[in-house]
Amino acid sequence: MKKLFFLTMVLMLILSGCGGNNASSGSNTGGSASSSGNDAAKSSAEPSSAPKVAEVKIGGLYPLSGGLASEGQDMANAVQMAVDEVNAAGGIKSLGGAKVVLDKADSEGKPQKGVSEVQRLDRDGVVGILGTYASGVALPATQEAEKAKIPFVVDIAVVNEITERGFKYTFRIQPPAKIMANNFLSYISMLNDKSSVKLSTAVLAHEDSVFGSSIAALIKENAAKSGIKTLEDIPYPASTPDMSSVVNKIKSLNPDIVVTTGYLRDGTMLIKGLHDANVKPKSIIGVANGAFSNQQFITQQKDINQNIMDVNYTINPKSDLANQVKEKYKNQFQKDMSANAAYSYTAAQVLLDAIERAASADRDKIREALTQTDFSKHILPQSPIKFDATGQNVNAQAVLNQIFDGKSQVVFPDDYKTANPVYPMP
Amino acid sequence: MKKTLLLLLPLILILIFPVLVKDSYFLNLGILVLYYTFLSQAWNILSGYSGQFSFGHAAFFGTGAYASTILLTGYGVSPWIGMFVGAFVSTLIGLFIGYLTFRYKLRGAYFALSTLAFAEILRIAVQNSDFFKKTMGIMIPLKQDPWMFQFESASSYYYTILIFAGFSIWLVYRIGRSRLGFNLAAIRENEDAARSLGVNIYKNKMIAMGLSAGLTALGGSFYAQYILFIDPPTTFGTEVSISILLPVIIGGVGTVLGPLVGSLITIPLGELTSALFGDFAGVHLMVYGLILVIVILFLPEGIVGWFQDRARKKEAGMNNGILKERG
Repeated sequence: MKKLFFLTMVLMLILSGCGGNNASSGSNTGGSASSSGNDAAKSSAEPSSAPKVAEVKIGGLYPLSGGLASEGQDMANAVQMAVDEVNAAGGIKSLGGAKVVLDKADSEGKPQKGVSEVQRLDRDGVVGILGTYASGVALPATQEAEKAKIPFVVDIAVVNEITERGFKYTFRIQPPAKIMANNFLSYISMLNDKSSVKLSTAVLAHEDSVFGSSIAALIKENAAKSGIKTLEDIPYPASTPDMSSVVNKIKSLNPDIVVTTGYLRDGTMLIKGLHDANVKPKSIIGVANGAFSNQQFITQQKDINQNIMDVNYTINPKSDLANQVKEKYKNQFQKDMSANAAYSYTAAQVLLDAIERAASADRDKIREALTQTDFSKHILPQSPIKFDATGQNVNAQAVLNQIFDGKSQVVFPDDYKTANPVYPMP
Repeated sequence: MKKTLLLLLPLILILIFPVLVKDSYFLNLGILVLYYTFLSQAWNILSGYSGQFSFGHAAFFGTGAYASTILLTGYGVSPWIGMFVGAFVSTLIGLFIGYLTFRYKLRGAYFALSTLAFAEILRIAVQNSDFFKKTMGIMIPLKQDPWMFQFESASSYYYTILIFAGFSIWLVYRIGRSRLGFNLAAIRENEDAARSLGVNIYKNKMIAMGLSAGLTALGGSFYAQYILFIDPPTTFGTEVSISILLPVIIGGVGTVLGPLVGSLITIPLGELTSALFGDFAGVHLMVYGLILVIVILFLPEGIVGWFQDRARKKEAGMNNGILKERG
């Protein structure tokens, strides 16, 4: 009896661990750290005209297993692609063509594991780390990197605090919750200005972890200034099997706008629920919504997703470079490049660019180079990537997407738009 | 003589580990081993000795983590004090759970499930309370001050948790040789028989529950100070409960050294599999799980339990290499 109990438990543990298929066979040198941080620091301290470094190791800390595995593997693949590109083009030229090696680390989406993986990467001698997708991992992992003085370029992780702790080694590409919420409010004002019909009441429905809650709280705080009245704030657990209570509440409140932040599954359930209950708000807008910008939702839910909007980070639709990268990614991994992957790819490029400019495998010199970043050859819908004193990408912004006939188009800002917004929904 | 030497050698190794190993990664591994030793030992007091399997120790762990953290970040109270406040609150919560479950004589799976439910209730309560910062979690600012329970060197963390773990092992050793320990063992083996012999079932279970809850909370405070970030799923989540009881099940439930041996095996094993199979996502967890299944299948008493069983049989002169069948 007891035995059976444990067996079931352990089996559950295993199953929860393998959510996702195998990652591509990344190149790993298995701990043969040829350029450990300390060694590199010593060698670069000596004045030499041509620094000789055989290889530079960077770390990629992602949830490669567990509930977030699918996203994590997409992101790690994108980093691998950026690394392979640099190697194919002759490596780090300022270091005599040093090859870049990606050291993949699995955070399993757990803070504690993230910390111990940063320590492992430190021991392996990485000169910089990329990651982490989950905010809960990003907070302690960047702290550990700060202690070890390893530059950490955060691609995706939304909570504001990541770059608000006075850290010197933490840099972030993604627009944080604050910018997302502000972008949403300014886009709403813009839409209301342009439209003859003004929408003024909103219900916020969001998943209840730090991701959805932090964004919803910021919107609620500042909505009044944009002329939006928040009727109700409805949190729900992302794992909920049933959305009917959320749908019923929205139905009874009858808002103009439904603002929602969540993941693919719950986001899809919400839209289906609203459709089935015949609730027709004048606008449905996601903020960083995991469903509304997901290819699966966009193409497979055509009958219910028409005209749904999403304020989100995305790939620049007007850039030829971005389209080439997307093409290449699809050929290599048989999967559409997600916005997450695009941000990881860009973060890797930013770090590699800093290593190139630092002309050194010394972590402090690379950090120094990162602060001087001015990277414009990227695939994101924003001006050059530059970091402010806190390490936040100053030009980071979310764009407004809208779904038309099974395709997501950028409708604002004008520089990146591929279609005109339809607002309110007909 | 040979036996004391056999015991002394690992002890010395554990003591001088940070001197031998300067590498922060391995030092962290050592800290994790001791940390899980401490937590699973705390679980062992209740569940190992009295047989009341708790699947909800996250309730106590989270209480400890949150109590010391909120006292520190909100009121500037040093975690050295906060952790004992957390232990006190956690003991009260433990006694409350004990009151509800033991009073109404919940046993086996019913007890396990009710503890699990209690941890979930606390998680949801914290997740929806502004006072606990909801799902945002709480970050402890980096301030390397020993009085604030933050050390510059990992070896200080190591020796702190070593004292915790050593104390818990000593405590369980003492309990095992005390009236309380005998009573608990009697309850575990046959509760009705124990009652008929005049053992106060309720009182003994309550003492074990209180001790176990308080100690687990100390572990939670240590976690918060070591990782410097807590949020509801990583402190009150079911995964926390499972990771607390895994080492003691591998090492040997109801034994003094079981938690230590179990942690010494499971923690490095987890790291080893992730280092070996890290390139193939998920495989390391499958291998790790498979090894656990094998251990549980073939050593249902745990590793220490198996050795003790063998030794006992040898003494009884019936060691013919066949393990006694158990239900």
